[in-house]
Amino acid sequence: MKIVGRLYFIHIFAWLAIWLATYYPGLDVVLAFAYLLIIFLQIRSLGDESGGRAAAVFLAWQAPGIVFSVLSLLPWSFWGLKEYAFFLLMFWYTPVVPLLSLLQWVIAGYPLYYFLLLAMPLIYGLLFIIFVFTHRKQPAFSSSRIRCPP
Amino acid sequence: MKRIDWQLWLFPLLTLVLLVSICFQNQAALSNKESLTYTYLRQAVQGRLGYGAVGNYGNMISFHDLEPGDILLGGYPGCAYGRFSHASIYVGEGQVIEGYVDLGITQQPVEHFWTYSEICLLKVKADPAQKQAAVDYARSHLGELFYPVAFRPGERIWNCTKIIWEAYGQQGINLESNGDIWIAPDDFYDSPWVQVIREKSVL
Repeated sequence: MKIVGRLYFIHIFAWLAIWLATYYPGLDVVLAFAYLLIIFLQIRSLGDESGGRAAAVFLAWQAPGIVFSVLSLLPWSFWGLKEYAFFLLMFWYTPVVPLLSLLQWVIAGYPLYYFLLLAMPLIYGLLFIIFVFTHRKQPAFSSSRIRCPP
Repeated sequence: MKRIDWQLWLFPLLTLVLLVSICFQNQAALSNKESLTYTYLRQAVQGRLGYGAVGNYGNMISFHDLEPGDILLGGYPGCAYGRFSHASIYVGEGQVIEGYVDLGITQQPVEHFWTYSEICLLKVKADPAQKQAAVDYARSHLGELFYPVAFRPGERIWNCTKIIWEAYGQQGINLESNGDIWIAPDDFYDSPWVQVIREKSVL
């Protein structure tokens, strides 16, 4: 699970660097793209892992985002956490906030970024699947391999 | 010799460089013990991080003489960054433009300001054309992104105070005179550009 530690390390320092980069408008957008590139390169290395193991890496890495998103959507609050859940969700996804700030549409009274942040664990999941499966060097499950006749 | 893992160390290095750069550019503001940065840090040490105890405190202040361009400040007890936690700009017809984390820059009815325990209405000392231009500027940014700790520069990422500060900044009126790296609602209260219409504290 070394890869989970690496993903957390990159994500947390990207959080800090990209938040600080918003002080220099424009640089934040460049760094957000750099973050996605680095995440892509990291996740690509999971191409040889089994589907279950890759899913475990994703869930461990994105657990905070999943928890904050679910807490934001729940109709009730645990220990007053719902009050701050969307704040925490936004902080967790700070590395992509500069990209969200480029989208300025409003749907049903809410800005588009609101819906995208709530859906961000799913969007990350989709990207994760694409990144992993486009770099598979061998099929994930042995049962799916085509066996040659003896 | 072992190669540097640039994917792992790029963002830590950039964090360091950006932190030094921002501190270097804002030495005066960051060395001021009354700055918002110090206020945040002092409160954080005492365990206060948020905007205080949200509730319906029913201040029932009158909004009858508000004019477009006037500023409303509201605060809850225990706010980590001053007496007031929220700011809005009045746009007329019982509506304000303000910023929320889930709604972005949004237009809402003014009555929700009755929920605050601290409330203050401010008039900006500017001519009506400048005030209307400030309102128009705020209106042109409806739907844009709210980020709680938004720095002063830039016109893409906002919080409730930055949109008002920038709206008046575009008219040549600087409502924050400390030169801090971010803006707090209390900065508007302390600004020489405003006069208090009325204020109320219900606790």
